[in-house]
Amino acid sequence: MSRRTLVALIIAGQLLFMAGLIARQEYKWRAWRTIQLRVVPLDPVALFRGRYVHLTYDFSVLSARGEDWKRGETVYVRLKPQGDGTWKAAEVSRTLDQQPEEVLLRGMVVHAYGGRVFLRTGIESYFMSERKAPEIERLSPQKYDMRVDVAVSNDGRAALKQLYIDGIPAEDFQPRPRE
Amino acid sequence: MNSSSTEHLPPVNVPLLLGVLGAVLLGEGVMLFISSNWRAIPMGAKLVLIFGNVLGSYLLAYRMKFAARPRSGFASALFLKGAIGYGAGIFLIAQIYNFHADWRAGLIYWFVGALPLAYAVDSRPVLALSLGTLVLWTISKFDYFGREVFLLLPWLGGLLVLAAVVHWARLFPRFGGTYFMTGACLILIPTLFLSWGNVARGWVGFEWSAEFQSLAVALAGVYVILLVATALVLRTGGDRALRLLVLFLPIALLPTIFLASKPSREAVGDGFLLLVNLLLFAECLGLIFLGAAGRTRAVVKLGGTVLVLLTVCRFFDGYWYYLPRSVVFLLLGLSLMVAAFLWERGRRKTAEAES
Repeated sequence: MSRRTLVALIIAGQLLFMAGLIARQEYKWRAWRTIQLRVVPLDPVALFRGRYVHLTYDFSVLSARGEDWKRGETVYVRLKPQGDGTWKAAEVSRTLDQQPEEVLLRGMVVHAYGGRVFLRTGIESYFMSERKAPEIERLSPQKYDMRVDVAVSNDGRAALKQLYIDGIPAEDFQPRPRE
Repeated sequence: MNSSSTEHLPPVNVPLLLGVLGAVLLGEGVMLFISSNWRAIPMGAKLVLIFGNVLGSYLLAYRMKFAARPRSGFASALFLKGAIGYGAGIFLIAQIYNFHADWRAGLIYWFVGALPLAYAVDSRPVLALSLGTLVLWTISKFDYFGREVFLLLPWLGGLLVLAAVVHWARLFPRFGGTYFMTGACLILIPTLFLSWGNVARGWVGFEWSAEFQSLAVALAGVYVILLVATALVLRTGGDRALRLLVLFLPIALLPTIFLASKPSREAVGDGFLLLVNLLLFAECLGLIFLGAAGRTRAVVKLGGTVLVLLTVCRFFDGYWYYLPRSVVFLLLGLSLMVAAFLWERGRRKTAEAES
């Protein structure tokens, strides 16, 4: 193989890999089941990617219930539907045994101490413009209805789709003037 | 070091240097521009911008590199810009599609994509970029409480030093320096950190994560493979300095191997700290000799810089009493003066004999 061909193949490989990242996420968004979850946003900055809203869920910190959870352990959060169209965490388990009318969300134990388990499910970052992200972070969860659309696979993997504030996509949302 | 090194250092390639700096600035500019997540740009346009940046840089670089009259310096800068754009593209796609789960994987994808390109286009800046992403991944992946990462970095450094020897002796002699400087920094800086009394004592009895243990075992496996490769390569090529380097390399990793084996707090006492300090002192001297033997100024400067940092750290380190510190400083200082005198005398005699 000539050096020219080798260089061309490596460049093509890089471009295909980037395209694959897009195709994979598009597939998740289209093929997986979409559910809504309530969130509380924070506003940090990510290396190479700019500002994002860090989303906290009702299952981000759970009670350990006397069990010994190890850092890095894979767990499944059992979600039950609520009357308002959202899904809420009922319990956390180590096994993937999905019951009817349930959605399981796969997560990883980040820390476990003080009788609490801190989980990460991979849907904690919602990227926004550098001007909009701090605005969203300042909104009070008590005053605004904050939800996300999440695509979930049968084995509990999740992909974040859209953040809504009072039913409006977060990018288009204008906070109410102070009362 | 490489026996083919010349007596006179090559002139600095200013156009290449400016081109590389320009490529880095352009790459950073594109990254910042898309990171700003400017709402006026639709998603499709952002993707076109990301792919266009990578493809455009590579196409231009390809044309310059393989033209009838190649412009290698500028092509190298453009390949670097393309490789930066590739890594930036991974993270910016992650931004557009809200990936979060282990974002550090992006750094490994970057490393895996850029490393073969460095060899294919024979570009040291692209090699430095790919090694940088590997180091950044190790730091970001194992930064819990700052413990695991300071043990893993020297081990990774050891692998890179071995890789440098293989490159110098046989593979790509031009790449040896980049591997060596990265590897040496990864060994020296964490060891300098460990030479502080309270820091080293903070390591003992720590419960290592499963990921750390897996990676440690993997690194040990790669080390053995590289050691065998190095031994085979040095059997047929390479000079005495390289053989000594391979022989003494494991000694430089001993403090971190000792700490990883979870010793008791008492074990990390004054004796351990004294040995770490003396070891680092010896490593710096070794680098200076190695650099002088191969006439590689950067290696001499690295050894000298860390040696100065070590002495400054110990001068202000309140962990030790003044009296023992003064005795060690006096003894080491005197030894260096005697060594300098003997070396200079030997050099004069050689010069006189030659004339």
